[in-house]
Amino acid sequence: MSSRIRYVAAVCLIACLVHAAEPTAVTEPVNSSATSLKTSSSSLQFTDLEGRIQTPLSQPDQRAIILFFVLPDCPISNAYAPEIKRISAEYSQRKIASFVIYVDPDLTTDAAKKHAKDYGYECPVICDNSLRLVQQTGVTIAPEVAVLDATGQRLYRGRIDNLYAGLGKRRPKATELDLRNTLDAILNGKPVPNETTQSIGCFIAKPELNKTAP
Amino acid sequence: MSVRHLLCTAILGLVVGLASSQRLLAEVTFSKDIAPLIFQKCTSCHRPGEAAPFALQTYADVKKRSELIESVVIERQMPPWKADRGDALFRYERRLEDDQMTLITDWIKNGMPEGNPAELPPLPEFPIGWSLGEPDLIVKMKEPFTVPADGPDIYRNFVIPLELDSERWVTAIDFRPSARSVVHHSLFFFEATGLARKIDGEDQQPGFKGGMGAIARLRGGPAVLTPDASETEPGRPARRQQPGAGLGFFGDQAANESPKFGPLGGWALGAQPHPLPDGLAFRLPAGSDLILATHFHPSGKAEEEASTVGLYFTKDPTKRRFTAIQLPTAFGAFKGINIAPGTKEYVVEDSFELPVDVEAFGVGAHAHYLGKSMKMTATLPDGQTQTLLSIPDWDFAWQEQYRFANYVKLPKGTRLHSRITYDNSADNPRNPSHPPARVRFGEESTNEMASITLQVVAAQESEMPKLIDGYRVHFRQSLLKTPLLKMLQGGQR
Repeated sequence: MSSRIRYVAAVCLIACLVHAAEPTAVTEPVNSSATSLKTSSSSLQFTDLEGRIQTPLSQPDQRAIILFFVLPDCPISNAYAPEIKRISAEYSQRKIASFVIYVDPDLTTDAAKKHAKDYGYECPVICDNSLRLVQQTGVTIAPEVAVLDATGQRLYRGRIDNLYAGLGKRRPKATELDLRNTLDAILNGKPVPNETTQSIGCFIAKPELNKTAP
Repeated sequence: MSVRHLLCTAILGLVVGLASSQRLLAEVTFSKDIAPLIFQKCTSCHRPGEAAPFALQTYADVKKRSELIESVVIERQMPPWKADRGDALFRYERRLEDDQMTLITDWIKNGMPEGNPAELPPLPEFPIGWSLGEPDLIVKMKEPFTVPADGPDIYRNFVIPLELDSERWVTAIDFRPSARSVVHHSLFFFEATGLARKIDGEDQQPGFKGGMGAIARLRGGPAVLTPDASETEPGRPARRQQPGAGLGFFGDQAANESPKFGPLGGWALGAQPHPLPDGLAFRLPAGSDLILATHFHPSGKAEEEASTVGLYFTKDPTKRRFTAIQLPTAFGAFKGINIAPGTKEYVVEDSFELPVDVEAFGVGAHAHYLGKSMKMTATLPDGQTQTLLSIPDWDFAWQEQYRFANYVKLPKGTRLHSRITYDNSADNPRNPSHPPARVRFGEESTNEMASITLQVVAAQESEMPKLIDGYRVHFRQSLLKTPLLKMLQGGQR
């Protein structure tokens, strides 16, 4: 008898707790299996800040693609600009294409151009105001990177390195070079060390809050 | 039976509790509850033209950043205020109360209702220009210093001649960086012998290499007593002070009647300039140069910094002389700091019994990247213990100088105790060495220092000499207990 009561009690409690948690539960973006991007998405086209048409999910003549997701008013994102530029320049010589993707839905093209110029990005820069690439790759933080194969298949999503141990906790120097290790593994035909890592930085707006139809 | 009863009560309680908390939560709106908090705690920096990276002035601003706000508030990264609530309240405190923190996080969880915009309080009127009014003296760095796009943090000292032909008394200094995204904090000092000018530009860049090492060079400070004293180079002016004289980081006006080097306060991100309380003022000798000991964070893009500084003088000399009680003495130079790699908790402590009644008005702490926690307590003669400063998660980047809301009265016989802990393991992300290396005392940021400094006046001005003498005795005793000194004495026998 008392065990039945306990059972009922447990069920009630769980129900109550679930109910209590309900208003706080955030529905995750559907594309959690973003490892395989829809084939139709690989033809996604963007006009970069220079006015050139870009297909950042499809680069048939490259060995891989890096998408650097950044927010122009995030200090952590900005602090990575020099490393983003170094990686982009070094790996472009080894047939890995880089794109810097601004992911602030409110960012104007003029503000993006000014920021890209101030921070000296040399690879193509795309304003993804409708967050289609965010949705496609499953990134949530800026700075965060997605590494894709030439056809847009996701190989890695996560941090560039571990320079930040937490918000406001910057190491003197990064000790885990996750992105570089991933790229080197790809170039050497080896499996990537980690498919995902946790990035530290500012939150990207939730794509589902935006009325978009990729 | 009783189980069932208990169960019913529990469920009922839970349901009622939930319902009421849901109802309360639903009533929390931006306009009525959140905006006043944001305006008071965040907007002074989070507005256009200030150091913070984005504005927090409207419902849309706050809603857009809600996830980040939630994280930094829960982690107490923001508002920047590292001290816990102790027994003595601080003036100008930016800390969020626990219930304020909960209000914000609950509001975010509840979907961030805006509420009635008519209930929105007006944005505070933030001062435009010099917040304390037109300064008595405005000076600027002679030439800009270039902060590179990336790399480690930079500590740099800049020398600004003040051209004063008579002594002045400084009640406040306002500091205006030109490149707000890279300037993190600046500590102010005066130097009246011309030594700083000589060092200035010795590496062909404006200013000279900063950090406490450089400050020690200027004051003839603890470096003289350390094994790797770089100050024994020939040709450098011998300006050593007597042990016990002028040892404070924050104020040692009374220790020496006319020091040629001394502190003038500081500025950190998020702080507004405030005059010293109660007619207190720092003495600034004629012919002094102002030294800005500035800490830069590279921001991802090269910036040029040319700080402007406004000094506020009082007409009269300081109403009361004040001094600093630093524990351990000399930034821990006599403590034999020697932290083996991998040590999770290394403790440095010091105590001092007050020889006279004192009134404390400020407190600050200093350690480097391994510093983990800081605590200063006062055990009164009646046995009651008060926490004067507690920083549970020390961060070298936030060297706040805390000011008490009121004088904290500490009677004669009160025992001040400081306890500083260090983490030299790989788990400390700020550890400058990877893998961790042995760390000893020193001024470089890869060495360690230890001090908590209490700024005090003697309750009776006439007892100031007794206070200073008492501290000098403590200083000498600390020196004689230095592990190195003992070792040397042992070796000579």
